[in-house]
This record gives sequence, structure tokens and C-alpha cells, in this order.
Amino acid sequence: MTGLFPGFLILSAAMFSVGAVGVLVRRNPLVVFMSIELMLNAANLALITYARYTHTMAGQVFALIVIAVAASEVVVGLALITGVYRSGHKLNLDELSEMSE
Amino acid sequence: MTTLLSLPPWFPLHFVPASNLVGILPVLIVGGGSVLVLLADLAVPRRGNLVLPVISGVVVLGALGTAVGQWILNATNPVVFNGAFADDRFALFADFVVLLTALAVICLSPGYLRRRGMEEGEYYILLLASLTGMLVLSGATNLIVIFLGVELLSIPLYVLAGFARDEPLSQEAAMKYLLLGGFASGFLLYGMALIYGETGHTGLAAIHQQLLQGALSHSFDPMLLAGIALLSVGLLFKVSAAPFQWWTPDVYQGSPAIVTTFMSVATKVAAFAVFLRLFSATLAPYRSEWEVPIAVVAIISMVFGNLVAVAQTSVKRVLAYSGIAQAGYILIGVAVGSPDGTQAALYYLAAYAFMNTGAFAVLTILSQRGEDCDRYSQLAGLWRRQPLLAGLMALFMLSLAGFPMTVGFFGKFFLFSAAIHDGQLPLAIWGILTSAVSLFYYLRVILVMFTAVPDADSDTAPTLAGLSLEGTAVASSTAASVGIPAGVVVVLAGVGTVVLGIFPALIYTLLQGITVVHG
Amino acid sequence: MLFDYLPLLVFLVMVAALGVGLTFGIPLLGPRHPSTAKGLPYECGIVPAETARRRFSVTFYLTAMLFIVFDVEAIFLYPWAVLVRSTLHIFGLVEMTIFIALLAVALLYVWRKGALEWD
Repeated sequence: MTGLFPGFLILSAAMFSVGAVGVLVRRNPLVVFMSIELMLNAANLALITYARYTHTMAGQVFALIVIAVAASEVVVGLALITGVYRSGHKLNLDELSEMSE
Repeated sequence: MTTLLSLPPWFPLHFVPASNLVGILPVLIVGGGSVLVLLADLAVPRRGNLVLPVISGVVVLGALGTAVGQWILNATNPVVFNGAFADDRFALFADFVVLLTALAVICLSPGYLRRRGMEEGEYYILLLASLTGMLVLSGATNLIVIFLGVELLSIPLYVLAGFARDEPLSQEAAMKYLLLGGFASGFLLYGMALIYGETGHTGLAAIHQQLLQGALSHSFDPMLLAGIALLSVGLLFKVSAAPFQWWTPDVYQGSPAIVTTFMSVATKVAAFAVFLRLFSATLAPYRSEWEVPIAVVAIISMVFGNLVAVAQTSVKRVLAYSGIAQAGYILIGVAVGSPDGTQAALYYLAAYAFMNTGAFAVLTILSQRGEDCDRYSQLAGLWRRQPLLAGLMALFMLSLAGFPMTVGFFGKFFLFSAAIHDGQLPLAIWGILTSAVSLFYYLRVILVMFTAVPDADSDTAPTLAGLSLEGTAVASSTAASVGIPAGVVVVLAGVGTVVLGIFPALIYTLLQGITVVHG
Repeated sequence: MLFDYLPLLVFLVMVAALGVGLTFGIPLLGPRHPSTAKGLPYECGIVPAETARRRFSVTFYLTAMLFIVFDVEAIFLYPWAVLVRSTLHIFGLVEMTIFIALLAVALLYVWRKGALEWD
């Protein structure tokens, strides 16, 4: 187990970074949203890895709750994105900026 | 409790002793209330009646009464659910501020929603759901509960930000809040994962013990520090401190004014409650590591918020940047770290609730169908049209600037003196300098209201029933029934701003002896 | 003192490099041999009947989103099911009943608001 432990952590950190970079460079709100989900799931992987490593259950409980919370966030997010799309906006974050300095 | 209910012996109540449920009673009341409003919305589908706001108001009043009761009883062991939640006086004070703000917002809502033509029952459900998250957050003493609170607070607010569904600005605000809020949640959660991994605990008390051991041997775990940093980024986003404030101006401007009122005050109070609890209690052993970064963020927020606010043409944006600056002032209290600093920060949060709710309430009252009152030109000559509203708005602006005889003055005074007592003179100096800058844009709002001549078209602006001295707007009894509560809220916020500015001890004595429990 | 942070720095650099590298490197490094068969959407080996990019009714998305919420809330039933006989007993039953009742209220709301109607 100890051998695998850093591997999972590095994978989780990589997933988190891909997600964070994705949020910053992508312009489609759906893809940005997927990147955010990737960040949350990276945290989930870290939580579960740490739960194995520290021999505690809290990490697994935390991960379950994160999954449920992320699902609610997805649904609200998709509903908002659908709403924006239906009201005639192009799905591009650069064009979605009527308020500016 | 057990004897009262006379439960059969085989009922394993020991899992949830009744004291646990009593400890989270305000949360239960508001959470249950939101389900009740949801069912009521199904039962009374007619739009625009006052059933839902009345139920919501009663629910919030009930929670407020319960919180007062808990404050008076002052449980000797305020930690419930195995250290996951604390109903200590610190949390209760934050609850008071949040609940009073919510009550003010509920009083303002029916009139505002009617004028803006968005009377949907979902509004009150989402408001109470978000309020539940805030109450969870103020007492959370476990990382899992903190995360739940943050998300329960945020997700309904994402929807509320886009509640004006026909308005592109509102849609844009919702989208930005959602994407940037989710981004911040990612950081928050990853920070929590790292802290959990390095300490093996999610309870704040156990984490505190681990940190104490590390600090004693002067070995600061870098992974743990990274976790704390990521967690702080997530929370600093929620309190909209610079440089994590990108979302604030757009979301504040685009959201319906009533939602901005709730978002700007209640979210900030709840997020700062958990921030103060984490930094003044749990992370205290690592103070040497986080003190400087937090102070730097405080200074950046004060400077950035106040300087950029000067250049704004939208009143809501001015208040958004002012909110960023206020977050900087409150962060002084966090950076100081002493009990003095914590009390000063709590005092400032209460003061902020009075003056900011008041200022936004004036904007909601002035908002008409189709758009919010947001441009300076819409405030022009308000003094001639509505002297009382203009006078109150001027009072709130002066209070936000920190004028003597207003609650804002003592808010800043306590924070700066706490910083000086703690030997952090630079923080106090930056605070005073930036306050001087802030005078410029607050006074500009006042100047516009008192000197400028109103536009020809703004003569048709609605006058508020019960507030307008001419009494022209009292068209029907329903107009008065939605107008009077709104007027009462603004006047009460004004009275509070002045009375607490003359007798600051009214709140400060409450704060004496508040200790922060962390499970 | 500052040396303590070295692993953190290495970690950060590694993580940033991986993130940027994976995002931008794959399109650059990956071999590309496009062919008609590869470009087709994969649908369990069956030749797709029509383009996947046609518009779906928005009702489809609504139903799908509602499904996700209720589906994922069900994960809490699994750990509960493992423990309910051995440790939670009646308390667990009461607790789960409250949870399910809340979900039922939500379903009732969705139903009465007409979100389950296809037209």
C-alpha cells in the first residue's frame, strides 16, 4: 500500500491541475464546468487515498458527501447554462461579458 | 428530554442525544422552514400573495428566538454531534446577524419582487436554503460540515443571482458566480483533503492538537501549509477579499438588488465566522506562518477595493468594491489573532450588516420594473423627491466611510485599535489611509442625491408607500402592505446605525467574553 | 527553515508541469492518423444511424438532470444498508425515513410543478 500511496496522490494532484488549468484556459462554460468537476474529483481521490493511508474512515465519508454535493452543483449549473443558451446567448464566456470596466 | 418523551428502552437514542438536536435547533427550524415553504408554494400556487413571505418571516423569527434562548442559557458544553458543531456564543452572535439580515431581506422582498415582476415562490425556498447553509457554517467545527455549509450556502445563491430570468445581466451574474464559485470550492476542498491527510482528522479540535505538536517542535509541515493555503483561498473567495474578488463586481451588479443585499451581507458574515473560527482557534499554533499572508491580503483588499470604487459609474459596483474594501478591514481582525481582534471583527460584521443592508435596501426600494436602481443619474435629486430615503442613504454612506456618530466609526475604531495593541501598526495605518480615500466615492453618492437635478424621465419613479411624505403612492391596501415593511426595515437600519454609533457598548458588551470553541 | 518548503516547491512545479503538459502536450505529441472509421462516434459497435449533433428536446435535459440528483442521493443508502442491521437499528431506520421523506417532498414538488410532463 505504501508503495502505491504517493502514486495516487500525484495522480490526484495532476487531475487537480488539469482541472484548474482547464477552468482558466477554456471558454465554453460546459467544459469549464467539467474542469471544476475534475478538480472536485481530484480532491475525492486524495481524500480516499488519505483515508487508506491514515486508517481513518472520515475521508471516505467526506468523499461520499462530496459526490452528492457535486451532483447538486452539476444540476444547478446545467440548468443555468441551459437557461443562458435558451435566452439566446452564445455559449462562450468571452462573449458573456456585458458588464465590464 | 428523554424522560419527557418517555421513549421505550430499546430505542437507541444515545446515537443522537436530544442535546445534539437542541444544539442545532436554529438550523433545524430554518431548514424545516424551507421545506415548509416549498410545500406551501405547491398548496398556494397563486402568484404574488403574501403567504410565502409571511411563513418565511415567522420561520426566521422562530430561529432568532431560539438563538436568543440558547444565548441566555449558554450551554456549558456547546459542542454537539461529537465535536462537529458548536453552538457557542461566537456562532450565536453570527447567527443573530445573519438571521436579522435575512428578516430584513424577507420584509423587503414582496414589494421589490412585485415591482420587478418576478414573484416566484422559489425565491423564498432558495433564500431559506441558503440561510440554512449560513447557520451551518457559523457553528461548523469539522471540515466536512464546513464544506457542506459552504455549498448549501452557495448553490441556492447561484440560482438567486440569475433570478431575473429575462435579464441578460442577471444570467451573466449567475453564470459567473457559478463557475468561479465552483472553482473556489475546488480549492477549498483540495485544501481540506491535504489537511485531513496530514493530520488524519477532520475535526477542528483534533487538527488543533496535531498543529500544536508540530508547532512545539518548530517543524511546520509543508503539505499542511499548502492545505491551509488552499483552504484560505477558497474562503477568501467567499468573503470577496482581493486578489480573489474577480467575481464580486459583476455578480453584485448583475444580480437582482434584493439578492445582492442578502449575498453581500449574510454570505460575508457566515464566511467570516468560519474564517475567524479557523484562524483564531484551530490554526493559532501556525500563526507565525499565516499572519503575514493574511495581513498582505487585508492591505491589498483595502487598497484595491477603495481605489477601484472611485472609478465606478454603477452604484451597485461601487458598493461591490466597497464590500471588497470592508472585507480587507475585517481581515485586520483575523490577522491580529488576539481575542480583541476577533471581537472587533465580529463588531464590524454587525455594523456592516446594519449599514450595508440599509444602503442596498434603499436601492431595492428605488428599483423599478425592468431594471434596478443602479446609475448615479437615477439617484440624482433624490433629496427633492424622497427626502427621508435620501437622508437615510446619506447616513449609510457616511457610516460605511466611518464617520463619527455612526456604527461604522466604531467598527473601524475597534479594528484599528486592536491592530495597534497587537503591534501591527502598518495595518492600522493602511486602514486609515484607505478610509480617507473611500470618503471620495461615498460622498459622491451623497452629492448626487442632494445637488444634482433629476432627469426628466426619473420624475415617474415610484414613491414608496409609507415613506413618501406626500403619500401619493398609497394606491391600494396591498401596496401599503408590501411598502410599509420595507420602509420600516430601512428606518430601523438607520436608527440602528445611529444608536449603535452613539452607544457602541450595546453590542460590544455582548461580545465581551466570547470565546471561540472548536470542538 | 526555508529549506522545509523545498518538497512543496518541487511538488508544485511537478504538478504545474503535469497540468500544463497534459493539457497542451497531448494534441502536440499524439500521432494523428484520421480516418472515416475513427471519426465516427462509437456506439457499442453499431453503425450510427444519424448524426449525434442533432438537437434534443430540452425536456430530455430536464429529465436527465432530475434523474442525476435523485440517483446520486441514493448513494447514502449503500453505507446505511451495510450498517442498519448491525449497529443503527431503529435509529437508522428513523433517520433514513426522514431522509427519504425529504427526497419524496422534492419529488412531489417536481411533479406538481410539471417538470415531469414531456410536453
